[in-house]
Amino acid sequence: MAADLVLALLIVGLTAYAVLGGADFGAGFWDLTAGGAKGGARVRGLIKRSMSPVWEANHVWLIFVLVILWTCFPPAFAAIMDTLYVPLFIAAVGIIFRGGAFALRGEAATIGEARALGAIFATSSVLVPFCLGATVGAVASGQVPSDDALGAWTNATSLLAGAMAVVTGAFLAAVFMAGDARRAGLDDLVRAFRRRALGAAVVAGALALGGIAIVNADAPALYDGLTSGAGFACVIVSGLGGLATIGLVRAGGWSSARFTASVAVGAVLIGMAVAQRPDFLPGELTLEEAAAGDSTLVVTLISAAAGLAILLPSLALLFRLTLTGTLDQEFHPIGDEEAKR
Amino acid sequence: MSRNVTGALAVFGLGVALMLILDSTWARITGVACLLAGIVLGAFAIATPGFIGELDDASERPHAE
Amino acid sequence: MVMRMDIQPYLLEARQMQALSLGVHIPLVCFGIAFPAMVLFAEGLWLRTGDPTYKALARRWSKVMMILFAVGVVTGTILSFELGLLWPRFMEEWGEVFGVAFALEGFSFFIEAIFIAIYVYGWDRLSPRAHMLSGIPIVIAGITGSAFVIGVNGWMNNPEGFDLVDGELANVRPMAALFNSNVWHELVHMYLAGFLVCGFLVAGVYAMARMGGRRDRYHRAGLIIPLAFVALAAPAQVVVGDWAARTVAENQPTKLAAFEGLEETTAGAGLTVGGIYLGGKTYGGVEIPKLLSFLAFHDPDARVEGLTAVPESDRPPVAVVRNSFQVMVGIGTFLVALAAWFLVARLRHGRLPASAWFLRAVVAAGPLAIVALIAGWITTEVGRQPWIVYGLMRTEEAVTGADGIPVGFATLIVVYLALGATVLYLLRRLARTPPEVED
Repeated sequence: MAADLVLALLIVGLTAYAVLGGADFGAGFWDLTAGGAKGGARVRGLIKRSMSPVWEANHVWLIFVLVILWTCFPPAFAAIMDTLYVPLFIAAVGIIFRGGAFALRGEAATIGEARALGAIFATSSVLVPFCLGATVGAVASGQVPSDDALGAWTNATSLLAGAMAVVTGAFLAAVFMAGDARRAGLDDLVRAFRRRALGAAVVAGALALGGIAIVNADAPALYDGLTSGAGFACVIVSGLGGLATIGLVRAGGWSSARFTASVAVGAVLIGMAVAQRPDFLPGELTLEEAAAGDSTLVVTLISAAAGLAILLPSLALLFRLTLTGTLDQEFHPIGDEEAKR
Repeated sequence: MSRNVTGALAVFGLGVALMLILDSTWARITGVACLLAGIVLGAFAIATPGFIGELDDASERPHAE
Repeated sequence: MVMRMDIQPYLLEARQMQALSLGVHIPLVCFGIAFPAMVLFAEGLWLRTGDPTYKALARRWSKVMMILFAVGVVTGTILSFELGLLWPRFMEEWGEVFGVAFALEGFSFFIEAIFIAIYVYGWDRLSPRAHMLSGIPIVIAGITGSAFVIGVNGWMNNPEGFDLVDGELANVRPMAALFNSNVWHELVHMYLAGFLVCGFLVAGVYAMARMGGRRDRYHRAGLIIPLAFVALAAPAQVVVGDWAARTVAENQPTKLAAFEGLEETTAGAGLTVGGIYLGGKTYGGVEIPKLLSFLAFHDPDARVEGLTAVPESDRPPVAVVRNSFQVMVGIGTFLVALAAWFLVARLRHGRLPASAWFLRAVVAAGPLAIVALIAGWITTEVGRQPWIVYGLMRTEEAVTGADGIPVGFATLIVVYLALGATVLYLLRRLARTPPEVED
């Protein structure tokens, strides 16, 4: 019972990271593909403005997930670290580069500096979600534990998961940014991100459909879990959420679109967890076997409750201040005007 | 020296004495509290607008505190 | 408990990698611990006097605080990854005992991240009172975050809060593990260290400006506010260091022996200041009789356990520990002297010390404080070897069997060099930007 509750907590944290952190990474993706210095200046300027207040807070969820994993499911954590150290190390390095580049970009004084930092930021924004997605995919397709440090995360399901992580993040980012642009009254950018959101949705849909065949061939146990019972229900919810979001994007309902997009992502993660019940590491460790002793689980739950009681109102305050524009900085196109600053 | 400064140093000194001379848990707790309080009070007593506010300190007038 | 009899060939590299990451992260943490209080102090001066100089200073500082906090977060993220990547056996065996502390730490710096964002981006957007209040959770989160992490380190040095039944964990009490007998002195010692590092580094920046002829109120404030904090923090740190040493004497006698390089168990042991430790003897130092016994136990004739009381495989690398300890104490003494110089000039003469050497000393004090900080951490962490969990698990038993460690290590070095260079370069440029004082 306690183990199930902690697992639920873990999934919540992972979802929060996938949505909030994923959107952050997606913003980096759009930064990378925004085009040349002149053409992409306005897009980049909005990205910076949107991300600034919330990006650090968004990424703390990752630590949260790691900590719960190693506190409450230590043998699973050790096995994951043992097997998947390559993508995890790449992700860790990417996170350093990304965070550093973003934090320092504000101090760049020449176009050259801004572009160099921007390129680092943007490239790592694609690399990190890919590696983390591949890690999740590897776990879900039963690759852990394994002696094959390279093969464990480069099987078809893992690569698919990595790609989905990038695309989903890009989709979420475009939806969030369009809303931000609407709030800032920058109509050209609303249209720019609307296009991007729809584009990302198409790619995500194609990956999902193609993914059906891939998962069926590569990880049949996972496929079975996702096509029957509660797992299937989650997939349906995710699909509906995705379709609803596309409809809302086309109609310009940005606030609701944020919500339905989050539901779509969360449902997939819950679906995966449900699909592999009762296993934590498919084919290797059940939830009960992976779980720490009851005293630790209970203390974790209580600590999490206490922590969330302080954290959630604080986070709500931050998001409220951000979304009402209180913390909005001025909009500056980047790459064009940067040199003049 | 002003009262603020004397107060800060007195609290700080008490903390030092408690920490170095006694060994009990309570002495430690109070001692640390006194040290920290002394540091904070000291910061306020030292970094006063009057002391900072000298625009041109070529004269370096001693400041009545 | 699983005993791994094969030694990982890259144990040393793994340890160096961990040490490097910690060495990069911990100085940054000092800014998360101490800078918020200084920023709020400056803002408070603005609210009290209405002088826009203080506001400009607080705004500039909060910008730097945010940058350094961000870099601290990413380096901290790497540490979380490394704990698992480098020491999976350690996490697997003991994660459930101390892991909760990291969860609480995570919440702390999550809160810190949120309120730093609100504080930095909320200047002039929130009411002055609301803005200042939004800074208070930053100060508190800085304390609690460090407390929880140090709780883990304290636990590693003195494992409590569980039973071992036939080598298996039983009766795990995470809260008892977190609030162990080491955490209190470690926390206070680190907290003060944060103020010393941050305070002297910031003061050093403005000391350099003053040497360059910038003596206006803005630069005076930038110099005086941090010095005001370190003035009493430096002597306090010595007092807390004494407390720390006495706790080590009680809980980790071999580590204490390594501080001094004491070979044989001795009653009325002396303390050797300076000198070089080689092959079991210290050459060239000044021995003060009975001082070690007195400092460690408040009894000049107390029996101090020597290194030979335990088998050689249970002793830490003594030269490293002893030298680091001496470096830390030496620099600490210098910082106390510098603080005293400032205090006397301020309190008795109402001015800054007149000598140019004072400013030069302040400029040097910042980097020296970092050296002392790292020396202190080396003393305690290398002094804990060969144990990763004191007395229960050796570092070599905890390490990963993964192959790519040297590659990872090399990559990390390059990454940190690039990051460090970029941060320094851009902060230096920010320091040269004139203050944005509003009319």
